[in-house]
Amino acid sequence: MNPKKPQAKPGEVTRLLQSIGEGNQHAAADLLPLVYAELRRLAASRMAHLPPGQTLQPTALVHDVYLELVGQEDPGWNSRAHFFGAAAQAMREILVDQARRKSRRKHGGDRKREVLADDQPAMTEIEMPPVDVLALDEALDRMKTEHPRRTEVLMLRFFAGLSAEQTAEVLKTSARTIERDWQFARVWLHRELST
Amino acid sequence: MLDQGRLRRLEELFDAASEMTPPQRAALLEAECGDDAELHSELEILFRHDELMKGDFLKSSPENFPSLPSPLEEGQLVGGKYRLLSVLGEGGMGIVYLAEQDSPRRQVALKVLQHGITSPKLLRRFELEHEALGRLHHPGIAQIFEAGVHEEPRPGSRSIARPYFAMEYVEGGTIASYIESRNLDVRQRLELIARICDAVHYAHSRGIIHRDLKPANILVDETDGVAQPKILDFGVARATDADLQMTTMHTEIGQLIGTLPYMSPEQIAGNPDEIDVRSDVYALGVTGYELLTGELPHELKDLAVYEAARVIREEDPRTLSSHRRDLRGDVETIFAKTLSKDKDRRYQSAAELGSDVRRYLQNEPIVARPASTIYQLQKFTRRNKALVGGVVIAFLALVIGMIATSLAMFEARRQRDDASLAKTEAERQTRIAQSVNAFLNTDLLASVAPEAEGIDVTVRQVLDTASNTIEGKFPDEPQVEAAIRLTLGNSYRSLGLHDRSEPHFLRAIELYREEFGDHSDWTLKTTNDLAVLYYEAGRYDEAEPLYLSTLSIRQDQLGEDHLLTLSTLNNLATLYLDQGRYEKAEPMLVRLVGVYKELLGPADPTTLISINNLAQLFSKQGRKDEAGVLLVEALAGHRLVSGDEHPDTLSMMNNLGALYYHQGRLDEAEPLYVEGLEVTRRILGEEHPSTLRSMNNLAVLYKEQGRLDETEVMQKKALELQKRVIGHDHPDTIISMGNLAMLYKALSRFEEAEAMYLETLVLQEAKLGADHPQTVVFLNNLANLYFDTQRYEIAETYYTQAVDVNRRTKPEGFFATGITLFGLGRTLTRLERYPEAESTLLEAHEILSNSFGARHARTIKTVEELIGLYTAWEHPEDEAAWRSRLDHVIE
Repeated sequence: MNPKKPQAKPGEVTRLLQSIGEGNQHAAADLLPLVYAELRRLAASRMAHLPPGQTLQPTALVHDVYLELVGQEDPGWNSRAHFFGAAAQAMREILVDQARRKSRRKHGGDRKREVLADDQPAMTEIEMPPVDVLALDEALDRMKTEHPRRTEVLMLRFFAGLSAEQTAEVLKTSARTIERDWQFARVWLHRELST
Repeated sequence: MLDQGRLRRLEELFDAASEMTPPQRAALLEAECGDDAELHSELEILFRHDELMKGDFLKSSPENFPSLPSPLEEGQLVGGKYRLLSVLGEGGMGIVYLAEQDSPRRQVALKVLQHGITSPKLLRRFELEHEALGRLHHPGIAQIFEAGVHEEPRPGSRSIARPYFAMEYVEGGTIASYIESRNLDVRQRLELIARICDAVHYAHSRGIIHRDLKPANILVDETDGVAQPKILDFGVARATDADLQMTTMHTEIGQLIGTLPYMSPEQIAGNPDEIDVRSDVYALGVTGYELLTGELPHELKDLAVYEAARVIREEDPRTLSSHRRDLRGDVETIFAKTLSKDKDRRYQSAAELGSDVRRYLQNEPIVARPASTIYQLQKFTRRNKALVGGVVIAFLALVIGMIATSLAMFEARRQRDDASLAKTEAERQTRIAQSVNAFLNTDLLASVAPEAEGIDVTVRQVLDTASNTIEGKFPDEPQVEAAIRLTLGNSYRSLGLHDRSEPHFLRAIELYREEFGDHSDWTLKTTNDLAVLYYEAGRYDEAEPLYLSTLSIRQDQLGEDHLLTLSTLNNLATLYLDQGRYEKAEPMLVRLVGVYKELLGPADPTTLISINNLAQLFSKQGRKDEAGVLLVEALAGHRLVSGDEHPDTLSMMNNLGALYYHQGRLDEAEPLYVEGLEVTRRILGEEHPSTLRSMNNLAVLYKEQGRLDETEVMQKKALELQKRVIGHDHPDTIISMGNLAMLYKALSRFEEAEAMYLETLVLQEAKLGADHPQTVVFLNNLANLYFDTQRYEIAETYYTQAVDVNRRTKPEGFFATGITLFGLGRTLTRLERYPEAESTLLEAHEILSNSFGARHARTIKTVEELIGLYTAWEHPEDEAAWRSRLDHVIE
């Protein structure tokens, strides 16, 4: 069985990214859990040192994880695309988890847990975008089947926090195209989320 | 529903029409959609939402990461009057250019900030603040001539306003390179620091805080033949708005790393209201510290940013004298005060700091001294109530013991060597003993006499005084100094004060080497003691080579069965045991028990300890029954020989308790744990590492008994104290974290459990490596958590990693491998990867039934998983076969 190392050191991710660049599909599958774990880990340790009530910036986290895992050296555009693609997906999952947890809490949840949780200082968490994340998550699944490239652009910009220029860089296309894709994706989602 | 072809068409038409006016757009859609009414209406709906959406979330969200504007080019005109000549450097928030101004004609340093000003409010604030900066006129501050905003148009986007500062151009290097190139001595460096304080105070008195003081921001101008430090960027951080800085902090990791070490704890906490002139005083302290020693107060290399921030906020800085021993005393005291975490304890102004530095330079008494030492002592006294009083006697006994040992060694030498040499040696040894005695009476005990210092004389106080006075006290008696240092080292070690202990050992080894050579008894004993210190501090990698070299020399010199050789062998075996290298530890421990029994008899404490150690090995190997027999024997013997309160009795009590716990014999474990904790607490104090370990164990037991409330309180308390007393990454601390994570899971607080496990794993892998048995336990537990919360894909990666390590490091069929395979197998079932799940669960079943028997809960659970697998996979025959096996076992 192929050993996987979800706790990654910078070199490992770089190697993984290289391996993806060489067409190794397995490596691409390994990347997501690793980035996910690193995001969670970083968020957890940040939270531990933040005053209660403060939130973490999701896109800032993504960028820090990039610096931690990939470092300063540029791994090439293809690797960056894979990395940020994975990071955007991981951040989406984390936010969805968080939203699920919150909605569970709102609906009562486990009584014992509630009582004990009150003894704790309020947990700091990742800042939620001002949108129904669970609905967004579902909408994105639908959008992906109909407009795959535009979904990708939206993911990179919205969850990985890339600018139009950076997204263009990563996807090897023009900033103008990205702006158009972005515009379309937002409008499409707006329609989807308002109905 | 549109098909893929029409979906692409939809995208195309949307793109084409999106920048048109509504009438143009209507015409286009009319023309292009033709009679495809569905496409037409889809597009119309989208454009309606385009209108509705303005100002909505999606519009503005990715502004968190404004793209960086391109650098300016040489020859370009900035602010309409500064022509860029060349790049001087890249500073914190922007690029500094050498630029030329026409009127008045002069060269200036032009700092152009990278980040544009994004709102009119920020712009207004920037304008207000830069006026104040222009009013700073001091020879120690690089004058700011003007601040302004450079409007830079960008094609296809709105223009950005980039703030710039035109500053006095200082020809000369940074202060650090100046100090190095001139090879300045301590006094000259301190004089420069005092002058920097003057300049900082000047700005403070005009209401301007620097916020980013560091050596890189201080240049030295030598134009008039006098070295004039010049501080750059005064108030720049403030003028460009702290809020702006905070929001962009994450994107500027590179900059942060350069600045972080100089930031005061309150700055790192990120509360702008807390920052005042004393934050600059702190930064001056770090700057001075670095200029004096070339080192930073905190070791931050290789730390992640958030970790470095924690260190600065929580950990005491390293003393100046740990880098340069000649800085011990007043200079050290001055900088310790400057670097206080609590700003009320710092100098209250840069002027106060400058004055104290000058007092020192003029050999006058400094202000800082009393506050700092008494505070330290009070802090220690509060933390170590149990050690206060009476322990001076313990220390005395240590020193007397040392004199006795040195006399005995002298006696041995006398018998070996010839008589005349022995006579000179005898006189020499007598002199040493007298010197040590005199040191004890006059320097040490007198200085901490209760009437002089109040009644709370602690052993720590005695030790600190000794540490401070021993330096240079015995220039002609290296043996005396070495002997005292060895005692000091061991005394600090017994208090768990590892950092203070280490330098004494190192110095003692150095002295003994010079005196007697590498292979002398004393050199080896001291080396061994240092290794014990490293072991206790969890610095296993540093302990091992010391043990190995000591062992090999002792084997050669004294023989295999000499007690000293055996003691080193024992230490090394214990180290291997804690590192999880059982196959190396086992033959050593078995041999030790045999040799000790023969040499010292079965009831000797040393023999009993060796039995205990072997039992620990068996227990960790899963041979619980063998371990139990040995431990009961060792504990009974030790109670008899050494009494119920002896530390070794306590640790055996604890070990037996742990064994019972692992065997599920909770009611037998509890009284052992409770008694152990009670006695340890009484004897060693609330915060001793052993007490904390006992507390952790009892907490785990309570958890198993379902007394979860008690568990949480106790576990958190133990963890908090461990972090403070033995460090956040000590192996004991890591274990407590893992236990707390397990508790959170038991309480269904999954988020907290996950975060805690992930943090635990990182520390564990960094400290003990990915292959350590405890690492596998954490991996498996975390995987269990993911499994229980239905996150099977992540669970799989962790289980796989755990299985992988077990296969690589454990013998075939080892029970732990079976446990991890069980986890992996049931996860694969959930992922519907049935063939893999089948082979995995079958292997798990084989290992577990061999290790624990067919009726053990783990084995039965594995069978249940197999049945579940075959049900899901729709293999009714296999399902039925396993069902009947299960029925058979249960009957």
